[in-house]
Amino acid sequence: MTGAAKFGDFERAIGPHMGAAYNLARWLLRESADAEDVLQEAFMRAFRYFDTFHGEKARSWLLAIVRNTCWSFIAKRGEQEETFDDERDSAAVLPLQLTPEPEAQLLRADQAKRIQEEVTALRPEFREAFVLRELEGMSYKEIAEVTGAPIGTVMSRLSRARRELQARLGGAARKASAS
Amino acid sequence: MMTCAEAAPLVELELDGELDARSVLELREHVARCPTCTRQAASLRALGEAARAHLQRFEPPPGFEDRLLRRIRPRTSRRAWAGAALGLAAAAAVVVAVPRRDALVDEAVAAHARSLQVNHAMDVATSDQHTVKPWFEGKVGFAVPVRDYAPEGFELAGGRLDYLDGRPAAAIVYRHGKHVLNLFVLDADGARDAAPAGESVRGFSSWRWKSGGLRFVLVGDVSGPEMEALARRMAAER
Repeated sequence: MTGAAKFGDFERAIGPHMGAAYNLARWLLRESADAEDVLQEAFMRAFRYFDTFHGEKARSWLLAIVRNTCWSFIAKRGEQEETFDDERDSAAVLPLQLTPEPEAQLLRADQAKRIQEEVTALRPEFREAFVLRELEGMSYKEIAEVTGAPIGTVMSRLSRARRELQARLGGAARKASAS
Repeated sequence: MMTCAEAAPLVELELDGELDARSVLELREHVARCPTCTRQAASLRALGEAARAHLQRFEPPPGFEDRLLRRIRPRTSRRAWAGAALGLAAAAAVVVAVPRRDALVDEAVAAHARSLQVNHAMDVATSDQHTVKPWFEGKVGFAVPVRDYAPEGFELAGGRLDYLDGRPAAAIVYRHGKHVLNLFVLDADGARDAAPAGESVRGFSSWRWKSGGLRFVLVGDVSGPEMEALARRMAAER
Protein backbone atom coordinates (compact mmCIF):
# COMPACT_ATOMS: atom_id res chain seq x y z
CA MET A 1 0.00 0.00 0.00
CA THR A 2 1.36 3.43 -0.85
CA GLY A 3 1.68 6.06 1.81
CA ALA A 4 -1.11 8.10 0.25
CA ALA A 5 -3.49 5.13 0.04
CA LYS A 6 -2.70 4.17 3.62
CA PHE A 7 -3.34 7.73 4.74
CA GLY A 8 -6.68 7.80 2.93
CA ASP A 9 -7.80 4.56 4.60
CA PHE A 10 -6.57 5.87 7.93
CA GLU A 11 -8.52 9.11 7.58
CA ARG A 12 -11.69 7.22 6.70
CA ALA A 13 -11.32 4.79 9.60
CA ILE A 14 -10.60 7.31 12.34
CA GLY A 15 -12.47 10.35 10.98
CA PRO A 16 -15.80 9.47 12.60
CA HIS A 17 -14.12 9.05 16.00
CA MET A 18 -12.20 12.31 16.24
CA GLY A 19 -14.82 13.79 18.56
CA ALA A 20 -14.76 10.78 20.90
CA ALA A 21 -10.94 10.86 20.96
CA TYR A 22 -10.85 14.55 21.83
CA ASN A 23 -13.51 14.18 24.49
CA LEU A 24 -11.70 11.29 26.18
CA ALA A 25 -8.36 13.13 26.15
CA ARG A 26 -9.96 16.23 27.67
CA TRP A 27 -11.62 14.24 30.41
CA LEU A 28 -8.41 12.36 31.24
CA LEU A 29 -5.96 15.29 31.02
CA ARG A 30 -8.33 17.98 32.26
CA GLU A 31 -6.35 20.58 30.23
CA SER A 32 -7.21 21.63 26.70
CA ALA A 33 -3.65 22.76 25.92
CA ASP A 34 -2.27 19.31 26.71
CA ALA A 35 -5.04 17.53 24.88
CA GLU A 36 -3.97 18.71 21.44
CA ASP A 37 -0.29 17.75 21.97
CA VAL A 38 -1.16 14.37 23.36
CA LEU A 39 -3.65 13.66 20.60
CA GLN A 40 -1.04 14.60 18.03
CA GLU A 41 1.23 11.94 19.46
CA ALA A 42 -1.62 9.45 19.76
CA PHE A 43 -2.63 9.88 16.13
CA MET A 44 0.96 9.50 14.96
CA ARG A 45 1.14 6.24 16.87
CA ALA A 46 -2.21 5.16 15.48
CA PHE A 47 -1.03 5.86 11.93
CA ARG A 48 2.16 3.89 12.57
CA TYR A 49 0.19 0.90 13.92
CA PHE A 50 -2.51 1.20 11.29
CA ASP A 51 -1.19 -1.85 9.40
CA THR A 52 -2.18 -4.00 12.35
CA PHE A 53 -5.73 -2.67 12.33
CA HIS A 54 -8.15 -4.97 10.55
CA GLY A 55 -11.19 -2.86 10.04
CA GLU A 56 -13.53 -3.66 12.89
CA LYS A 57 -14.16 -1.63 16.01
CA ALA A 58 -12.25 1.43 14.88
CA ARG A 59 -13.54 3.41 17.84
CA SER A 60 -12.24 1.03 20.52
CA TRP A 61 -8.97 0.63 18.66
CA LEU A 62 -8.39 4.37 18.40
CA LEU A 63 -9.59 5.20 21.92
CA ALA A 64 -7.27 2.53 23.39
CA ILE A 65 -4.29 4.28 21.75
CA VAL A 66 -5.51 7.71 22.85
CA ARG A 67 -6.09 6.47 26.37
CA ASN A 68 -2.64 4.88 26.67
CA THR A 69 -0.96 8.00 25.33
CA CYS A 70 -2.85 10.11 27.87
CA TRP A 71 -1.84 7.85 30.73
CA SER A 72 1.86 7.94 29.76
CA PHE A 73 1.61 11.71 29.55
CA ILE A 74 0.04 11.93 33.00
CA ALA A 75 2.82 9.69 34.36
CA LYS A 76 5.49 11.89 32.73
CA ARG A 77 3.83 15.03 33.98
CA GLY A 78 4.50 13.48 37.39
CA GLU A 79 1.00 14.03 38.57
CA GLN A 80 0.66 12.75 42.07
CA GLU A 81 -2.81 11.42 41.66
CA GLU A 82 -3.75 8.90 44.22
CA THR A 83 -4.18 5.92 41.99
CA PHE A 84 -6.65 3.24 42.63
CA ASP A 85 -5.44 -0.28 43.22
CA ASP A 86 -8.15 -2.60 41.99
CA GLU A 87 -6.76 -5.56 43.93
CA ARG A 88 -6.29 -3.69 47.16
CA ASP A 89 -9.25 -1.36 47.09
CA SER A 90 -12.10 -3.46 45.93
CA ALA A 91 -13.30 -6.97 46.37
CA ALA A 92 -15.42 -7.29 43.24
CA VAL A 93 -18.46 -5.07 43.55
CA LEU A 94 -18.82 -3.38 46.92
CA PRO A 95 -22.00 -3.69 48.91
CA LEU A 96 -24.27 -0.69 48.65
CA GLN A 97 -24.13 2.11 51.17
CA LEU A 98 -27.79 2.83 51.44
CA THR A 99 -28.86 6.23 52.61
CA PRO A 100 -31.98 6.14 54.73
CA GLU A 101 -33.43 9.52 53.72
CA PRO A 102 -35.27 9.18 50.44
CA GLU A 103 -34.85 12.88 49.60
CA ALA A 104 -31.09 12.40 49.45
CA GLN A 105 -31.45 9.81 46.72
CA LEU A 106 -32.73 12.03 43.98
CA LEU A 107 -30.77 14.79 42.32
CA ARG A 108 -32.18 18.26 42.22
CA ALA A 109 -31.52 20.34 39.11
CA ASP A 110 -28.71 22.41 40.68
CA GLN A 111 -26.94 19.29 41.92
CA ALA A 112 -27.33 17.67 38.54
CA LYS A 113 -25.34 20.58 37.08
CA ARG A 114 -22.62 20.15 39.71
CA ILE A 115 -22.02 16.69 38.33
CA GLN A 116 -19.44 18.15 35.93
CA GLU A 117 -17.06 19.14 38.73
CA GLU A 118 -17.71 15.99 40.73
CA VAL A 119 -16.86 13.75 37.79
CA THR A 120 -13.75 15.85 37.12
CA ALA A 121 -12.70 15.22 40.72
CA LEU A 122 -13.00 11.44 40.43
CA ARG A 123 -9.85 9.33 40.31
CA PRO A 124 -8.77 8.88 36.69
CA GLU A 125 -9.66 5.16 36.52
CA PHE A 126 -13.20 5.91 37.69
CA ARG A 127 -13.55 9.05 35.58
CA GLU A 128 -12.44 7.17 32.48
CA ALA A 129 -14.92 4.31 32.97
CA PHE A 130 -17.77 6.68 33.80
CA VAL A 131 -17.17 8.98 30.82
CA LEU A 132 -16.84 6.08 28.37
CA ARG A 133 -20.06 4.57 29.69
CA GLU A 134 -22.24 7.68 29.99
CA LEU A 135 -20.89 9.97 27.26
CA GLU A 136 -19.76 7.45 24.66
CA GLY A 137 -22.42 4.85 25.53
CA MET A 138 -19.84 2.07 25.48
CA SER A 139 -20.61 -1.44 26.70
CA TYR A 140 -18.54 -3.03 29.48
CA LYS A 141 -16.76 -5.08 26.85
CA GLU A 142 -15.84 -2.00 24.81
CA ILE A 143 -14.62 -0.15 27.92
CA ALA A 144 -12.53 -3.23 28.75
CA GLU A 145 -11.02 -3.10 25.25
CA VAL A 146 -10.17 0.57 25.55
CA THR A 147 -8.75 0.45 29.06
CA GLY A 148 -7.11 -2.98 28.84
CA ALA A 149 -8.80 -3.99 32.10
CA PRO A 150 -10.87 -7.16 32.63
CA ILE A 151 -14.65 -6.73 32.44
CA GLY A 152 -15.01 -7.41 36.19
CA THR A 153 -12.63 -4.54 36.91
CA VAL A 154 -14.59 -2.25 34.57
CA MET A 155 -17.76 -3.12 36.47
CA SER A 156 -16.25 -2.42 39.87
CA ARG A 157 -14.72 0.88 38.69
CA LEU A 158 -18.04 2.04 37.30
CA SER A 159 -19.76 1.00 40.47
CA ARG A 160 -17.23 2.82 42.65
CA ALA A 161 -17.54 5.93 40.47
CA ARG A 162 -21.29 5.95 40.91
CA ARG A 163 -21.09 5.31 44.64
CA GLU A 164 -18.74 8.27 45.04
CA LEU A 165 -20.87 10.53 42.91
CA GLN A 166 -24.00 9.55 44.82
CA ALA A 167 -22.25 10.25 48.11
CA ARG A 168 -20.90 13.65 47.02
CA LEU A 169 -24.06 14.84 45.32
CA GLY A 170 -26.30 13.29 47.97
CA GLY A 171 -24.16 14.81 50.76
CA ALA A 172 -24.68 18.23 49.23
CA ALA A 173 -28.40 17.56 49.14
CA ARG A 174 -28.50 16.92 52.87
CA LYS A 175 -26.45 20.04 53.62
CA ALA A 176 -28.66 22.14 51.38
CA SER A 177 -31.87 20.95 52.99
CA ALA A 178 -30.43 21.43 56.51
CA SER A 179 -29.50 25.07 55.93
CA MET B 1 -36.07 -15.47 45.92
CA MET B 2 -33.50 -12.74 45.41
CA THR B 3 -31.98 -10.93 48.39
CA CYS B 4 -30.89 -7.26 48.56
CA ALA B 5 -27.25 -8.34 48.53
CA GLU B 6 -27.85 -10.25 45.32
CA ALA B 7 -29.97 -7.51 43.80
CA ALA B 8 -27.62 -4.59 44.50
CA PRO B 9 -24.97 -5.21 41.84
CA LEU B 10 -27.62 -6.21 39.29
CA VAL B 11 -29.37 -2.85 39.50
CA GLU B 12 -26.45 -1.21 37.71
CA LEU B 13 -26.15 -4.00 35.17
CA GLU B 14 -29.78 -3.51 34.26
CA LEU B 15 -29.38 0.25 33.86
CA ASP B 16 -26.34 -0.34 31.65
CA GLY B 17 -28.26 -2.81 29.50
CA GLU B 18 -25.89 -5.61 30.44
CA LEU B 19 -28.28 -7.91 32.26
CA ASP B 20 -29.87 -10.94 30.60
CA ALA B 21 -33.66 -11.02 30.25
CA ARG B 22 -34.25 -13.70 32.85
CA SER B 23 -32.26 -11.88 35.54
CA VAL B 24 -34.02 -8.61 34.65
CA LEU B 25 -37.33 -10.26 35.53
CA GLU B 26 -36.03 -11.65 38.83
CA LEU B 27 -34.48 -8.30 39.71
CA ARG B 28 -37.67 -6.35 38.97
CA GLU B 29 -39.64 -8.77 41.08
CA HIS B 30 -37.33 -8.08 44.00
CA VAL B 31 -37.16 -4.31 43.47
CA ALA B 32 -40.97 -4.09 43.34
CA ARG B 33 -41.18 -5.52 46.85
CA CYS B 34 -38.17 -3.73 48.33
CA PRO B 35 -38.31 0.02 49.08
CA THR B 36 -34.54 0.20 49.70
CA CYS B 37 -33.64 -1.25 46.31
CA THR B 38 -36.34 0.86 44.65
CA ARG B 39 -34.69 4.00 46.08
CA GLN B 40 -31.23 2.89 45.05
CA ALA B 41 -32.41 2.10 41.52
CA ALA B 42 -34.11 5.50 41.25
CA SER B 43 -31.00 7.25 42.55
CA LEU B 44 -28.73 5.49 40.06
CA ARG B 45 -31.11 6.21 37.23
CA ALA B 46 -31.19 9.90 38.20
CA LEU B 47 -27.39 9.96 38.28
CA GLY B 48 -27.16 8.49 34.79
CA GLU B 49 -29.74 10.91 33.44
CA ALA B 50 -27.96 13.87 35.05
CA ALA B 51 -24.64 12.72 33.56
CA ARG B 52 -26.04 12.40 30.07
CA ALA B 53 -27.89 15.71 30.32
CA HIS B 54 -25.23 17.84 32.01
CA LEU B 55 -21.77 16.35 31.51
CA GLN B 56 -19.87 18.22 28.87
CA ARG B 57 -18.85 16.37 25.75
CA PHE B 58 -15.75 18.37 24.82
CA GLU B 59 -15.71 19.36 21.16
CA PRO B 60 -12.44 19.75 19.26
CA PRO B 61 -11.51 23.42 18.62
CA PRO B 62 -11.86 24.76 15.05
CA GLY B 63 -9.20 23.49 12.68
CA PHE B 64 -8.14 20.77 15.10
CA GLU B 65 -8.48 17.88 12.65
CA ASP B 66 -6.74 19.71 9.86
CA ARG B 67 -3.77 20.62 12.07
CA LEU B 68 -3.53 17.08 13.39
CA LEU B 69 -3.76 15.31 10.06
CA ARG B 70 -1.51 17.76 8.23
CA ARG B 71 1.40 16.65 10.40
CA ILE B 72 0.73 12.96 9.79
CA ARG B 73 -0.02 13.02 6.06
CA PRO B 74 2.85 11.43 4.10
CA ARG B 75 4.86 13.84 1.93
CA THR B 76 4.05 12.08 -1.36
CA SER B 77 0.40 12.20 -0.53
CA ARG B 78 0.62 15.90 0.30
CA ARG B 79 2.07 16.56 -3.15
CA ALA B 80 -0.55 14.38 -4.83
CA TRP B 81 -3.28 16.29 -3.09
CA ALA B 82 -1.87 19.63 -4.07
CA GLY B 83 -1.54 18.37 -7.66
CA ALA B 84 -5.11 17.13 -7.71
CA ALA B 85 -6.36 20.43 -6.34
CA LEU B 86 -4.46 22.36 -9.00
CA GLY B 87 -5.74 20.06 -11.74
CA LEU B 88 -9.28 20.50 -10.56
CA ALA B 89 -8.94 24.25 -10.34
CA ALA B 90 -7.63 24.35 -13.90
CA ALA B 91 -10.30 22.04 -15.26
CA ALA B 92 -13.30 23.68 -13.68
CA ALA B 93 -14.33 27.01 -15.11
CA VAL B 94 -16.14 28.17 -12.00
CA VAL B 95 -14.48 26.99 -8.82
CA VAL B 96 -15.74 28.99 -5.91
CA ALA B 97 -12.96 29.82 -3.49
CA VAL B 98 -13.61 28.26 -0.10
CA PRO B 99 -11.56 30.13 2.47
CA ARG B 100 -12.86 28.32 5.50
CA ARG B 101 -14.72 25.09 5.68
CA ASP B 102 -18.39 25.29 6.41
CA ALA B 103 -19.31 23.76 9.78
CA LEU B 104 -22.26 22.21 7.98
CA VAL B 105 -19.91 20.27 5.70
CA ASP B 106 -18.17 18.77 8.73
CA GLU B 107 -21.49 17.76 10.17
CA ALA B 108 -22.64 16.33 6.86
CA VAL B 109 -19.45 14.28 6.49
CA ALA B 110 -19.86 12.94 10.03
CA ALA B 111 -23.51 12.09 9.32
CA HIS B 112 -22.47 10.38 6.10
CA ALA B 113 -19.81 8.31 7.89
CA ARG B 114 -22.34 7.41 10.58
CA SER B 115 -24.88 6.27 8.00
CA LEU B 116 -22.30 3.86 6.54
CA GLN B 117 -21.27 2.61 9.91
CA VAL B 118 -24.40 1.91 11.85
CA ASN B 119 -25.99 0.09 8.97
CA HIS B 120 -28.75 2.62 9.04
CA ALA B 121 -28.42 4.25 5.67
CA MET B 122 -32.14 4.42 4.98
CA ASP B 123 -35.50 4.83 6.68
CA VAL B 124 -37.28 4.31 3.39
CA ALA B 125 -35.51 2.07 0.87
CA THR B 126 -36.72 2.32 -2.69
CA SER B 127 -35.48 3.45 -6.08
CA ASP B 128 -38.85 5.10 -6.76
CA GLN B 129 -38.59 8.88 -6.43
CA HIS B 130 -42.38 9.10 -6.13
CA THR B 131 -42.18 7.10 -2.93
CA VAL B 132 -39.20 8.89 -1.41
CA LYS B 133 -40.44 12.43 -1.99
CA PRO B 134 -43.77 12.11 -0.14
CA TRP B 135 -42.08 10.15 2.64
CA PHE B 136 -40.31 13.35 3.70
CA GLU B 137 -43.56 15.33 3.85
CA GLY B 138 -44.30 16.60 7.32
CA LYS B 139 -40.88 15.50 8.52
CA VAL B 140 -38.61 18.32 7.37
CA GLY B 141 -40.87 21.32 6.82
CA PHE B 142 -40.09 21.90 3.13
CA ALA B 143 -40.66 20.03 -0.13
CA VAL B 144 -37.68 17.80 -0.86
CA PRO B 145 -36.70 17.55 -4.50
CA VAL B 146 -35.93 13.88 -5.14
CA ARG B 147 -34.55 12.73 -8.49
CA ASP B 148 -33.01 9.53 -9.74
CA TYR B 149 -29.71 9.71 -11.63
CA ALA B 150 -29.57 6.05 -12.61
CA PRO B 151 -28.74 6.84 -16.26
CA GLU B 152 -25.67 8.73 -15.00
CA GLY B 153 -24.74 5.75 -12.82
CA PHE B 154 -26.11 7.10 -9.53
CA GLU B 155 -29.13 5.07 -8.59
CA LEU B 156 -31.62 6.41 -6.06
CA ALA B 157 -31.58 3.99 -3.12
CA GLY B 158 -33.84 5.66 -0.57
CA GLY B 159 -34.23 8.37 2.02
CA ARG B 160 -33.50 8.98 5.66
CA LEU B 161 -34.31 11.63 8.19
CA ASP B 162 -31.13 13.13 9.63
CA TYR B 163 -30.32 16.04 11.88
CA LEU B 164 -27.85 18.75 10.83
CA ASP B 165 -27.19 22.28 12.00
CA GLY B 166 -29.66 21.76 14.84
CA ARG B 167 -32.62 20.97 12.61
CA PRO B 168 -34.13 18.10 10.65
CA ALA B 169 -32.53 17.44 7.30
CA ALA B 170 -33.49 15.16 4.44
CA ALA B 171 -30.81 12.66 3.46
CA ILE B 172 -31.30 11.20 -0.01
CA VAL B 173 -29.23 8.09 -0.56
CA TYR B 174 -27.70 7.12 -3.90
CA ARG B 175 -25.69 4.08 -4.92
CA HIS B 176 -22.84 4.14 -7.37
CA GLY B 177 -21.52 0.58 -7.76
CA LYS B 178 -20.47 -0.34 -4.26
CA HIS B 179 -20.31 3.27 -3.10
CA VAL B 180 -23.01 5.04 -1.16
CA LEU B 181 -23.61 8.78 -1.44
CA ASN B 182 -25.70 11.01 0.77
CA LEU B 183 -27.32 14.18 -0.48
CA PHE B 184 -28.33 16.29 2.51
CA VAL B 185 -31.04 18.89 1.99
CA LEU B 186 -31.82 21.67 4.48
CA ASP B 187 -33.75 24.88 4.54
CA ALA B 188 -31.46 27.77 3.48
CA ASP B 189 -33.35 30.36 5.54
CA GLY B 190 -33.75 32.60 2.50
CA ALA B 191 -30.04 32.67 1.65
CA ARG B 192 -29.11 33.49 -1.95
CA ASP B 193 -28.19 30.79 -4.43
CA ALA B 194 -24.56 29.72 -4.42
CA ALA B 195 -22.66 27.72 -7.04
CA PRO B 196 -21.29 24.29 -6.11
CA ALA B 197 -18.04 24.32 -4.14
CA GLY B 198 -16.11 21.12 -3.51
CA GLU B 199 -13.59 20.00 -0.95
CA SER B 200 -12.08 16.87 0.50
CA VAL B 201 -12.86 16.18 4.11
CA ARG B 202 -11.41 13.21 6.00
CA GLY B 203 -11.05 11.18 2.85
CA PHE B 204 -14.56 11.88 1.60
CA SER B 205 -15.35 14.33 -1.11
CA SER B 206 -18.05 16.82 -0.53
CA TRP B 207 -19.87 19.39 -2.65
CA ARG B 208 -22.20 22.05 -1.38
CA TRP B 209 -24.44 24.60 -3.04
CA LYS B 210 -27.60 26.59 -2.46
CA SER B 211 -30.52 26.85 -4.78
CA GLY B 212 -34.25 27.48 -4.65
CA GLY B 213 -34.18 28.36 -0.96
CA LEU B 214 -32.48 25.10 -0.01
CA ARG B 215 -28.98 24.13 1.03
CA PHE B 216 -27.47 20.96 -0.42
CA VAL B 217 -24.42 18.98 0.69
CA LEU B 218 -23.39 15.93 -1.32
CA VAL B 219 -20.98 13.54 0.40
CA GLY B 220 -19.40 10.36 -0.93
CA ASP B 221 -16.15 8.58 -1.63
CA VAL B 222 -16.36 8.25 -5.39
CA SER B 223 -13.62 9.87 -7.47
CA GLY B 224 -13.38 13.66 -7.59
CA PRO B 225 -14.41 14.34 -11.22
CA GLU B 226 -17.44 12.02 -11.03
CA MET B 227 -18.66 13.67 -7.85
CA GLU B 228 -18.16 17.08 -9.34
CA ALA B 229 -20.11 16.20 -12.47
CA LEU B 230 -22.97 14.86 -10.36
CA ALA B 231 -23.00 17.90 -8.06
CA ARG B 232 -23.09 20.30 -11.03
CA ARG B 233 -25.82 18.26 -12.67
CA MET B 234 -27.91 18.30 -9.49
CA ALA B 235 -27.33 21.99 -8.85
CA ALA B 236 -28.30 22.90 -12.41
CA GLU B 237 -31.63 21.09 -12.11
CA ARG B 238 -32.93 22.69 -9.00
